[in-house]
Amino acid sequence: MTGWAVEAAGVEKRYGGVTALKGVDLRIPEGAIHGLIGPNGAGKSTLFDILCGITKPSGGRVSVLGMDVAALPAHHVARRGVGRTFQRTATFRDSTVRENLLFASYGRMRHSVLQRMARAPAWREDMAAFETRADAVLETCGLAHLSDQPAAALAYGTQRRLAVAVMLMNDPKILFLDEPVAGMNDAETAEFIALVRDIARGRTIVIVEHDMAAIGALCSEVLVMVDGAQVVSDTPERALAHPDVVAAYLGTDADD
Amino acid sequence: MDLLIQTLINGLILGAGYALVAVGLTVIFGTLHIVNFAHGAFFALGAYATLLIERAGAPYLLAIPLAVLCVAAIGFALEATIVRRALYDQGEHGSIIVTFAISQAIVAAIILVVGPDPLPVPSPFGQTAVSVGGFFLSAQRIFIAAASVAVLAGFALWLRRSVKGQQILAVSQNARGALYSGINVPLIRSLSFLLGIAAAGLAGALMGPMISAFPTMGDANVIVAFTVVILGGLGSIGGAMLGALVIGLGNALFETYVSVSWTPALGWVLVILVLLLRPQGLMGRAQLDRH
Amino acid sequence: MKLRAKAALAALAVLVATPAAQAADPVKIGMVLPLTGPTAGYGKDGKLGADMAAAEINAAGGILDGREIELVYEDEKGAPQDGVAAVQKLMTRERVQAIIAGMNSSITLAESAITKNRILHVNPAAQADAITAQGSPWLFQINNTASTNATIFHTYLTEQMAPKAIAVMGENTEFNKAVLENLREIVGESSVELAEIATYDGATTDFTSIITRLKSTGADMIYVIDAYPARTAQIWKQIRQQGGFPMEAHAVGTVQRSAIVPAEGAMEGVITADIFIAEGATGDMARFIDRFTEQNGVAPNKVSLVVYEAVKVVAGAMDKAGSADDYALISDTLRGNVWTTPRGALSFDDNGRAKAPYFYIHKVTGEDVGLLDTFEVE
Ligand SMILES: Nc1ncnc2c1ncn2[C@@H]1O[C@H](COP(=O)(O)OP(=O)(O)OP(=O)(O)O)[C@@H](O)[C@H]1O
Ligand SMILES: [Mg+2]
Repeated sequence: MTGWAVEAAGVEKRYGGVTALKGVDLRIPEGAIHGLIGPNGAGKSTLFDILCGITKPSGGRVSVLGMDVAALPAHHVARRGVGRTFQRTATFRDSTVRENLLFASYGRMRHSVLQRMARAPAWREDMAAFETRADAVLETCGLAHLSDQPAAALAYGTQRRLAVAVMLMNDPKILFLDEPVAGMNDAETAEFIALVRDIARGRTIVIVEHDMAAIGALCSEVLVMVDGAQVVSDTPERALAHPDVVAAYLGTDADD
Repeated sequence: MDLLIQTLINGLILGAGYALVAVGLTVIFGTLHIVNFAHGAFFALGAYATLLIERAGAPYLLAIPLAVLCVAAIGFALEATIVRRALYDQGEHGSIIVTFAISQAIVAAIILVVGPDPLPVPSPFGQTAVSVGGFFLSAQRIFIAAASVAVLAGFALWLRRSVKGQQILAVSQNARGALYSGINVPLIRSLSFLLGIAAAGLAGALMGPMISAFPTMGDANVIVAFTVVILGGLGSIGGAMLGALVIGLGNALFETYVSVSWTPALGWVLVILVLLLRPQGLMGRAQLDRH
Repeated sequence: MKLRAKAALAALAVLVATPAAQAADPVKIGMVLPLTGPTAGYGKDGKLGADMAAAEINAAGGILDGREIELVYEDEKGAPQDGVAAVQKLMTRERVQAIIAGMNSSITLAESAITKNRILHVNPAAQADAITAQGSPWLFQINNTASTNATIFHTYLTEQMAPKAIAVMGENTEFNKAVLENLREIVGESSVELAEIATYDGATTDFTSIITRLKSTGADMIYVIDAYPARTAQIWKQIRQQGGFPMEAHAVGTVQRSAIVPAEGAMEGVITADIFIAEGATGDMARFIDRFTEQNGVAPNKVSLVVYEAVKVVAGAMDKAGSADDYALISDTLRGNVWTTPRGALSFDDNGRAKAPYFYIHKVTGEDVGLLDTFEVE
């Protein structure tokens, strides 16, 4: 155990002529709630994709929970304790809330096809374990009363909580949230902040967010990125007061 | 009245056949987001495999599953060597070119190996027609309809009840979310491709005795399947089945009571109407979540 | 830079070499056939005939004082745009001296627009009158025109078979429209009734509803006009499954083994007609059939025959005219002479149309057609 949930050094990513990341260094201690901010196109989502193993970096080293994520298929990374939600929320729209959670649980189930068909004890144990876990997760995320609703019918803010719930089914040790409160009203945002505090116990959480109030309320430290490069890493108040950060935000993101 | 009943029967039987081709297309589109222009070529492969296996001495009913296995094996080889590398996550533009090239290659290979002439695919149902209460029903068509309905029902059940089936549904709804739910998305995509191809091969094996085996036999059927899939909603399996029924019945009624020459246009008119009134298709999702 | 120098050198070499090599240079003939696509069977049959003709000509010492015939094949894939591309490629890239192209009428029409006034074009099989009606001086046709064939066949259907009412189904093409027009005319002069005409699009996959509809008219004769072998087989199977009709006929010149075999007996007894039949052949024709069968292991069909004749006629006319590229002279030679072919004496009229000496009524028997009646064409 190194004590670091994320250790990344000199991470680069090029898409043809576009350089999305120009050598980013990032260390996140285990158990922290860490922020990642920067104007649109700064490379935040790209960095998330690399940390989760969905995108392979063009250069640099990345270690998450001690794993060399660049060398592993994404679903393996996911099964070994890395969860993430997406900027454009993506639930399993046609399925109910409970089915959404079930989709995420197959990776942990151990029964065979035959046992499933025969409704054998192994199958029943797996299903019982799923039900217990699903009930707990739904309770935590405030979705218990919606468990039979189709995901597409949920309010937008609720869908974002569902996305978190789906991830919690695999009990991730680190959870990446990409702009989780974007598009939520104040009440929903406050609820979501409480949820993040609640689930942060025993895990590391990394948040990309344009809502500075949420960042300020949750994070002990933020990394500010501009144009694929890091500008500063500090507490939220001090980072936001940094002259380069002020310039970057005033220059490019005035409407946000 | 008799004419109407005969027409409705024709339409239902026709629809069952369309559904099989269309479901294969839509499963591949739903999970892989590629438009498989090689579907017709795999359809033809199914008919040729049946024919060759029958020539080797197997009876038709045994030749069908063996032929489907052969087509799936060819599909697997192409998936592992070309489709997987060239297509996944590359969007629909690349897929059109690559699958079109695959289809041309398969057709050329058939011409080289077996020749261009249409060949009969023997079936024990042959030309037998059953006359029930004055209505003529070809035995082969009844068999096609029964086999299609059975296979599609089994497939629907498998999607609902099995882990892999559920994972196919998950991937087709949201591939990235599925990946982070720990689902082996590449495996599910390969599996979906194989299933889609196998369905095309099965359709070819079933319809071969009716339309004979010839290299481009899949073209016309796949064009109909495309209208069915768009009508039902791209990627929606239930939609493909409903669309097939609508087009099958629509075509039969239109041909009998209105005009034969305009029937192919009917499918597209229905498609345009549906796209105007319900852009996502009869049972499609309002908006596809892409990456 | 280097490459360009090389190309220039090569061009020079060709210039220097050309005059000396000319006598031995082969005469290139461009062959446009459907080698793939739904009518690829015709392409295969035609190629056998063409290869045999070229081999015979070359074995006999070639033409124009020892020049061999070289056939250059291009695939028209059963589609007009591919036919046009094939002809263009043969003319510009391969620099052939004549084009033999013509199976399907719409494709041949498109191709003849490219060849008109530019190169000698012989159409072996396509029948539409429009092809030779456009006044193209260097265009010739081996097969009868559709109207000649249709008139004889439709007269036979109405007068000899004399049904009460005919139900017709056929693909919706320009060519079939002309055939239907002819049918309406000839039926109109008789007491036979036209119960219904159903035309379908090329993309149609199923014919049960059409046949159901035609049967419901109570017609006692079905007449199918379709040139695609696989579809022909499928249509007749479906007609058979719905109980068939008392009298059954299929359009002239389109019923080959490639349709009869996949129909698996469903075409048994269907009446059709053509300018060729293997059964009962004598003289030159019998010898042609024997040679062909020996070389290829299968008997020739109409397509093999007309393509064979086309190659022979082109080579013969060039030889007699003493030129491979003076098309006016070659065309005059073609019109001014009588050409001996397996079918007998063939001569071309002002429109470039040959008339077959005989016309045969066929009846599908087993895996081939049998001879029912013979007409001499006046
Ligand atoms: N697949 C891709 N191909 C090409 N360029 C890409 C790709 N993905 C991202 N980029 C580019 O990389 C840069 C960083 O994008 P990224 O999505 O990481 O920014 P972001 O910081 O998440 O922005 P936002 O706040 O808008 O979400 C952008 O210029 C983007 O256009
Ligand atoms: Mg982003």
